[in-house]
Amino acid sequence: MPRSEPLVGLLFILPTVVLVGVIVFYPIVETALMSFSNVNSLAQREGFAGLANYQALLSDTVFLRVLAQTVFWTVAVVGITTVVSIPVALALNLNFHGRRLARALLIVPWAASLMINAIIWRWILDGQHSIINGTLMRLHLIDQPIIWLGSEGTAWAAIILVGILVSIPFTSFSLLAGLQSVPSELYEAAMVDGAGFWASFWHITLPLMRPVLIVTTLLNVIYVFNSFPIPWVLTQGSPAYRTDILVTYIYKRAFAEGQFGPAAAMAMLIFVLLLAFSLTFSHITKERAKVGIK
Amino acid sequence: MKRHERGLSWWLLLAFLAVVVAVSIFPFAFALSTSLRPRAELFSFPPTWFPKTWAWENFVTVWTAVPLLRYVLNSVVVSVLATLLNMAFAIPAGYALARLNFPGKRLFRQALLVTQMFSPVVLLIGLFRFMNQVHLLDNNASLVITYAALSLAFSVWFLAGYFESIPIEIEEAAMMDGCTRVGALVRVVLPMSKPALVASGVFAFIWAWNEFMIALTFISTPDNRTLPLGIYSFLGQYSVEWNYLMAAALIAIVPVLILFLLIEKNLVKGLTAGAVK
Repeated sequence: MPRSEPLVGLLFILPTVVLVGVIVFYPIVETALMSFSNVNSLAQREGFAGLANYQALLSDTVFLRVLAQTVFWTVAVVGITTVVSIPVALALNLNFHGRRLARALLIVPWAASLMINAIIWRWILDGQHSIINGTLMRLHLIDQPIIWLGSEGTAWAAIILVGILVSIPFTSFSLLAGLQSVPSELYEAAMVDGAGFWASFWHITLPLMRPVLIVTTLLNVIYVFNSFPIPWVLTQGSPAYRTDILVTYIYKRAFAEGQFGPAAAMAMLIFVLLLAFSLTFSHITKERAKVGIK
Repeated sequence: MKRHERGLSWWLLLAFLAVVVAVSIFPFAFALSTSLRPRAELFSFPPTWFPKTWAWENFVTVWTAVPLLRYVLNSVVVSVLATLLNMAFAIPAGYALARLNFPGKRLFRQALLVTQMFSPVVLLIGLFRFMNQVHLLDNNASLVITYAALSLAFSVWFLAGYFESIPIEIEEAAMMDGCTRVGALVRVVLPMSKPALVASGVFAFIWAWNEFMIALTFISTPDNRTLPLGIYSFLGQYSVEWNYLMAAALIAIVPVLILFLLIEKNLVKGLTAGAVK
């Protein structure tokens, strides 16, 4: 049983409370205040502006498009990553030679930061003389080099590909941990009953993995939504904000254009969106855990 | 599923895994191949998969051709200090959550959890304003404080979970023998928590080592750049020296990779710790 030592307890948490208060909670309050103020280009508040910054967002067609792009990017990356990671996790759970090597190799994109992943892909795709263009031309699949990062469609394909590749390690390792907690007696029982691989996958593995799938998806949504370096390094949102996501757009509005007021309003919007999403999701998870198996 | 016989599904899964691993490792293999090319071979057409001349010396000259040493030192200092600060604050707070009752405990626990759901970009504007007010912009101290704070919630949760799993009787015996609360923590609990301390320290370190967006916002003087920022700044040059850039990128990955493999078992447990509870 924890002891009741109020003074010691408070003293022990004091440093954390102060640091998190100053670096996390105070900036949120400051950003909230900015979102209701006129803010100059040095990020100083100059008087109350009411809802003007929020109203400006509604008439900002770029913002609305970037919002749609962000949803598209998050859903595409998290969705495809999950679909790819399930068989990867199943394979990693098998007994085969080179299993340790496969796991070690799969960790590499995870260990490298998002920025480094993005910068390497930029080199692979960049310009006329990239290795991808060269190879495709030598195979006579294309006649002209493609400027992959130069037009909207191919740039999105590249950005999403990189997003997926950096998300696969965490997702598949997390699903693997979930798989390993499935008691093997269940499979043995299923095999005795004559269930094949796919039958036991659909009826045993997938339902038992549901809690870990939910948690992993929640974390992935938050990570992917926030992954600033990938679009920033690959395209910086070009052409004309068409490959921006909310985090890069906010960054540009605030730190390149000095529009701190509207940027703060957008930041608050994200704050509310993500918080609502997380709370709903964790609520669902708790409910599921209650009614779920065990 | 380990006992499943090697049917078609077995081979299909392994083939799929092989493809995913190949695609995942390809950029790093190509980065290595680029880093070992002489400058003249960077834009040769048609492009080649392997260098014609292997320029092993790139990994030596890169340290002086660009201020790589400076960037690495900045990153080491920032990451180590951020990790130490993080641990110094997280240990007592985690211990308090695990072992002590105090007013506001529930609120403290919930508030920590909520901070993990914040997007760094949401904090960025207010944080920039704050660092400007206290005159810490373009000073690496701003990064140390920010990194320590942003990985703190995770560390506290992670350590609290571990401390809870240690039998309380051991501490009680020590305190019976005249040990104070702090004495019990330092002499009994911490030595028993080495794996958790290592894992949480490694997480804090990697987080700081890899962080890019906040450094990009706070730091403007080239001499103050951390490694990710330094590598990114290669792109701004008139003609990008991709061989050096790739060498620097690979150098940046190595310490993280070693630490990752060191704590492989705790990796997933750690990353989902806050969310599952």
